[in-house]
Amino acid sequence: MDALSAFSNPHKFMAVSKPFAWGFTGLGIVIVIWGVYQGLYVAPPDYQQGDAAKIMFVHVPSSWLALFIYVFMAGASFISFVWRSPLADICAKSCAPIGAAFTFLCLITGSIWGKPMWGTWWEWTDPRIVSVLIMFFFYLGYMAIWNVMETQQKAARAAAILCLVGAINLPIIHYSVNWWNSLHQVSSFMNDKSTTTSEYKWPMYITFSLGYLALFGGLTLLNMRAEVYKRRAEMLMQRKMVFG
Amino acid sequence: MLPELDKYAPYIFSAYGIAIAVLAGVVIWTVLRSINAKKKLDALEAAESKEPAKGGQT
Repeated sequence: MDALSAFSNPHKFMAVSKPFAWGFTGLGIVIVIWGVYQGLYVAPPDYQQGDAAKIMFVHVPSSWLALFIYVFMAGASFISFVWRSPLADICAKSCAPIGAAFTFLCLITGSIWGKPMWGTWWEWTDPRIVSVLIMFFFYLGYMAIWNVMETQQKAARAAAILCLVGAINLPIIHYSVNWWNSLHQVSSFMNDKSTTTSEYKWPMYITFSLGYLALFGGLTLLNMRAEVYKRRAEMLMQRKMVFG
Repeated sequence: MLPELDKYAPYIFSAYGIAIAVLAGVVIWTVLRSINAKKKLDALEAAESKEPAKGGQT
């Protein structure tokens, strides 16, 4: 209950979040460095894809995080929209640049893997690629709204609505490989029928996922703290302008 | 020392290089934003706490 209370009250949040923010960020950096070392130097080549399979170690977890962060952001946006919680819109706003970065990473590493494996950098007829690109545009649109609206209240409402509309795209991303013909394979999570034989595949996916998740947690908390500082500073400046 | 990779090495180095650059960029941007926001607030609070004393002198 204390943790819930801390995440609904900005003062309590600022008091308890600092060690978590820096701790998760540091942990994420260490795990990702470890993952890069394992991926490049230790993991053996795949019997079909050769060393190109190593690109999947950074690509697949980034796609999971891109989706997970959007779900998280949509949840915070829903709370912000319904209950007008001050920390919920700060939380959703703070997630957006990190989610956009992971979505960009997913798209770019997928493209780099696609050239040698599929013979193309980009395929407009692939529903998975296009739906993830649409999600990237929703992230960018969400951030743009916060920068163009006149007041924070208006921005929070409009951004929350856009985020919730964009959530319609999430099941499309997930099921696109089942619903339409796609270059992507169907989901192999929990039902591994993929062709790779590398015993490093799942340990590497889990390593990068944990690293990305820790980075997401730490950076979101740091961003939230920065936003609280920024709003306090704006309040002080407004008070100074009014009372001299 | 660079790892020994097959003919896909340029693709692998590009993917890992971009991944490291993007993640490092997000970390640096977030940390700087947090530090700068705290500095700005501290400066404003320090200026405000000095104001009553300044007002008392006049």
